[in-house]
Amino acid sequence: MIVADILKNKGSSVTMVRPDETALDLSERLRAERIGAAIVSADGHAVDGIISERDLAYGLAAHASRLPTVPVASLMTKVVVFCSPDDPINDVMGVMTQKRIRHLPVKDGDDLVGLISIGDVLKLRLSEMKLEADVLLDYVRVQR
Amino acid sequence: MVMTVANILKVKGRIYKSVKPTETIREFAKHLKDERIGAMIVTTDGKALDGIISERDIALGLAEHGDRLPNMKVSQLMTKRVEVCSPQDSIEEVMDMMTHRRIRHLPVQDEGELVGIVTIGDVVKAHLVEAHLTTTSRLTLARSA
Repeated sequence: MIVADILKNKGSSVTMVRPDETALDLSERLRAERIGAAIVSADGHAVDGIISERDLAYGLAAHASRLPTVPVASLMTKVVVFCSPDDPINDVMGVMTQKRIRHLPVKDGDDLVGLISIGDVLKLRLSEMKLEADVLLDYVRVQR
Repeated sequence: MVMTVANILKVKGRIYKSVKPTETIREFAKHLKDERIGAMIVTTDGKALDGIISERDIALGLAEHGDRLPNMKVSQLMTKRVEVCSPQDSIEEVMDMMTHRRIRHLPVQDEGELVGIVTIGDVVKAHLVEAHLTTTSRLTLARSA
């Protein structure tokens, strides 16, 4: 199983915010779209950064009641780790646990083609495990 | 060998970070940042599980409460109906629970006593180890056959 298998179900649309949008704007987007992270891009193509629920939570510690008006640019993570559609799921799981990150944008060459979360990865592994179990059961039945 | 929640706790320890329901969201956010974690158990006496509160509650709470958020109490934002798991639960059961309920933190209770917390990161890590062990034992079996 590879990253492309996740995108097949989830689609390749990525939620984007501009760096000058506020933390409040971002919070509203996350809530409306039921997601945990968004890509930050000024022009809608180049990735300037990634911003997640965690950045908002930690941002509250620093900015308190000023947080709603703080621009996304000053809260985002600028050094972004990417994966590719061909990456095996196990590799992606390794990257997420080692770097303690929960969202990985997917790049195919220069194009951003998706954003996967640790929840997506877990869901796919679970369905894969159920499939393996079914195959084993079938095998046992055929042997009898 | 099936890996369980107990195996995770053996590695990370039977510890969990907690916050009092009367603390403010600002204080809670500071705890998260200092501890570099994403959620905390809410408890008054350090034993009873009053609720759970996570970074998601802050991220989404901001849209609803705006600049009032930092002065609100943990008790106003926490999830009160907490899903829990037990040390005997398998990694697969916990994976299933987290996926279907879209949650990333599960307190662990052993006969009513709070003994730890497992995160989606812990579960993925344990699953990687388990998958590796399974492959290794299958190879050993295949070689000995």
